[in-house]
Amino acid sequence: MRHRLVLCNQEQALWDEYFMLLLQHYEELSLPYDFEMSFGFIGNPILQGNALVAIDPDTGLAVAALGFVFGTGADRFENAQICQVEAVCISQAYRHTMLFYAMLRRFAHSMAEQYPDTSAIQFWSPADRCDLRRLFGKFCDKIKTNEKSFGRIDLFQTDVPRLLAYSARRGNRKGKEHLS
Amino acid sequence: MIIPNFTKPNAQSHITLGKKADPKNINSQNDSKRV
Repeated sequence: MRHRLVLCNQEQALWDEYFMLLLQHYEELSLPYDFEMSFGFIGNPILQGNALVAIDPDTGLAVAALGFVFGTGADRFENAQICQVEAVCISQAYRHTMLFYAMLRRFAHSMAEQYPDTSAIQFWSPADRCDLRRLFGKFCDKIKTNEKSFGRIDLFQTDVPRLLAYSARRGNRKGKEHLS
Repeated sequence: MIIPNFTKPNAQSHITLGKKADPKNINSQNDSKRV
């Protein structure tokens, strides 16, 4: 099945789809923070970022989403050349590598075309998830691991050319291997 | 029990409302907690 991959800033109505999908799958998001903090991160792309949403052509509903902002909190989001991904979600029934890499590829192309000044793409992930470390290690560098009151978190970083190259390479492979 | 009457024009002046939060500020603080 070919999903429609759309950025929310191109169809404002998709923000509802983005937000509902992430809240419906909140428990699966692996966000290590309390709900208030997680809610802020999920909502931040609506206020000052963008989101990529995969729409099931049959139902018209979102089955996957990737929300991102520009800048980091430490710089009060002034350093807009850094893109920070805040949440990624693929509904269980649609969770296979083909959709994941299709989203990655579309995200990389969108960054190259719409946000050419982006110098780095980064995100935080729970450090105790070996599966996530293995997955993200394929197309990102682990910059550091921080010990916080809410747990250990890894900072991963990559850039647009690397993401483009990796997602293009993966996109040429066949397979329906399921993501955990 | 005192039930506030919000239809009164000056009703809100009797209620302590928090300062309207700036989402950018909150998100900035939250993000800084990870660094």
